[in-house]
Amino acid sequence: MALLGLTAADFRGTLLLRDCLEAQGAFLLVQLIKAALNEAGDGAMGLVPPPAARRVVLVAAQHAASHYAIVLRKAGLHVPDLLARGRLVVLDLLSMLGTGLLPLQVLHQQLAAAVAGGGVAGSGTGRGVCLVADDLSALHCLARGEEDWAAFLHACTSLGQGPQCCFIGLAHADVEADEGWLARLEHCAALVLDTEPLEPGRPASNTGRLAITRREVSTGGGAASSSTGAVATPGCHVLGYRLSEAGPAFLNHEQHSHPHIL
Amino acid sequence: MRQGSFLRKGVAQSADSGTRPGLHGQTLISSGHPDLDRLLGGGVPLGSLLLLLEDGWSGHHATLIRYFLAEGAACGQTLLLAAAPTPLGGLFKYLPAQLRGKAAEKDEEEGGKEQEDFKLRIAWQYRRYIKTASSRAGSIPVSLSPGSSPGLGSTVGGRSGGGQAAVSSGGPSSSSSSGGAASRKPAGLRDWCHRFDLLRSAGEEGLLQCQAQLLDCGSRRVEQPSGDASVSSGTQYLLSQAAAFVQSLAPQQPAAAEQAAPAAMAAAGAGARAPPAAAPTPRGPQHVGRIAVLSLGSPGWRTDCLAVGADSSNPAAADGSSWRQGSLGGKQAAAATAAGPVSGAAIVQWLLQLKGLVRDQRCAVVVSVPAAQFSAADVARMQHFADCVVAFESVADDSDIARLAPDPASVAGLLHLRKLPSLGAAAAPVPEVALHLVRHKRRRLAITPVEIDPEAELADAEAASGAGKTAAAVLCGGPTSGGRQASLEF
Repeated sequence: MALLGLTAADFRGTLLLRDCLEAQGAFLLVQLIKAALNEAGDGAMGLVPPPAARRVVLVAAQHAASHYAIVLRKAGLHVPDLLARGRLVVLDLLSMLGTGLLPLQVLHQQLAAAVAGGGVAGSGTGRGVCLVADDLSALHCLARGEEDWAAFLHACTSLGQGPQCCFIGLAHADVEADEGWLARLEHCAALVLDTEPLEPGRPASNTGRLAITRREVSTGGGAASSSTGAVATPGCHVLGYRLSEAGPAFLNHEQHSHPHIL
Repeated sequence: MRQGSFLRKGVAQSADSGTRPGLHGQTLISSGHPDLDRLLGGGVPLGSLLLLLEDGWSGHHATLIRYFLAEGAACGQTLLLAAAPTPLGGLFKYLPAQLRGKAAEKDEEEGGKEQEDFKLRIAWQYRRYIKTASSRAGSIPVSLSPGSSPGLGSTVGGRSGGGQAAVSSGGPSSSSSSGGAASRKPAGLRDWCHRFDLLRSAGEEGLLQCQAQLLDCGSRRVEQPSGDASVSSGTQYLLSQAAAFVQSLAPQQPAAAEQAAPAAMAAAGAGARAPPAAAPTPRGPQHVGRIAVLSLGSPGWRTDCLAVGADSSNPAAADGSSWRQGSLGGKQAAAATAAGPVSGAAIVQWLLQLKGLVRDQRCAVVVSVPAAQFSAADVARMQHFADCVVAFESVADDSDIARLAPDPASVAGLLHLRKLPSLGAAAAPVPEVALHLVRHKRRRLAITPVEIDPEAELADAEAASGAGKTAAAVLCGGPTSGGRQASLEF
């Protein structure tokens, strides 16, 4: 994630990804999962001993687990090894939906078991957990009411407040009815990533635009911040990105001093 | 010593008839319409859900569903059509007849000519001076495939989808009577799907080689073991039937089904082409399924949601229309208050369930939804949850886009390609051209990119200005047709 300017310290709290139909942001999820699993390889983190390996719990509601297996393999991750070591846990919610609607409370129980380790070999406690939800709009459809949904979101964001834990959620900004809970989620998010289409038209070099809004001060590299002195201030970076099968490429950096000016 | 995750699996299995390999490990089936196949990057991937957003004024969605099912029937695949109410005459009359012999060749040539016209849309004025490939004696006919033609693939198809493998896997048309055209042309998109005549019905002979099922998804009475009756909603009934349909394509043991997801995850992550199953995947076109749902959520799908303790002596309650009688009491009255049109939230949930049902299965789904009946938020959710989205829009005869397009008489609507399937793709493909024209031809539907006829534009400008200039005068700044000297043309 060096291209995005994100460090390991950014993987804390709540990370909100907002996309739209014209500029889908699912590719960022793969990049963030890879970064969360390989955070020891980050440049800033290489100066100090790597922390305990972080576990990633992925709730796959938009795509099936087989899709993530393919795209994570394309991203360079050895999925069978990660699964065997318990560093990657996938809740294939989409396949579960094929047999019937799953109440959100049941999903929460399964998530809690997966976060706690779930009896997977090598998945002991004491390590950070990164909960990734793809996507929140689909999970919202399973809720039986706004209170049910608010409780689920609160549980997810609370998990991200733990040490070395974070919650990454993908949501769709072009669903008008979801603006309420999206605004609440944005309010408690430390980092917001928005993908937007280019208007008008689309040049061949760019697929879309990515706005990275850092809402809180983060010390780059956590423990390494004292040595590197890198401090990410609140603000908004706007990047262009180009998608290809080899992965995304990020272009032409711009920076705004105020976080809410895109 | 193995250096990577690549595993040689021996001799690759040949694809079933009617399928072909696509990118990202996808297996494609044809949509039945060559233009739509090209837009989607080669076809509809198995395990995907294609959403058609109706415009409320035209029946293009139903036409595409007819193509989709007819192609499956021609390939011998297993079909399921759900509608409420069902089409009159059943599937025999609903599906179009397959063109054979010279009719198919002629239809194919017409389609190729349209694509040739599209390639020349920029040099519209100079088209007459360029010999088309088909008119040159002894020349090789141009084969239009989604990936082989750079101009076409880069303009029409999706960015990632434009490079679909143009591999013909012993497809249906190679064995059909349109083999004459196939023998003259290299394998490509035009050989991919069959040709159909929308003016004629398939009849019983058209469905002889396939298994087809027609579901009436209006309200239905279901007897409970307790003696009560319940009115099952159309969506619930369809979901149960769809589950049985998918199960019939590849019978699987329940224990194996529970283990399928993690096994598929591990196998796909290890680089295997297909998830391992407890039993070998059955082969053959009859094990490839197509589910089509017509106008999901339309008024025929009312009486969603009910579980009433109906009075069995009251026939009005049995057909779900008892709310009109005004003589209900107790449970029935409570149920009647819950009756109504299918809500958008229920449709969204149902789409998610159906998507999960067919994912990783040898089945593809096409669902048409009357978008105008639902809120913008629900339609947006539907589009996000579907794998591929095609939206239709009607155009008025006097609209600019219909007036300025070449051959305006054939323009029947607009097609918006909003989302392309991205199963197994690291990045979702983005449609290069999102807006297309739907044209009515004599026996078929054509989908062409939006293009503006310069002559029509000039004529329109002349009519607006009243100057009476010729096209050459406007283009080159020459004298007007009236012979008056323009003093300061340059």
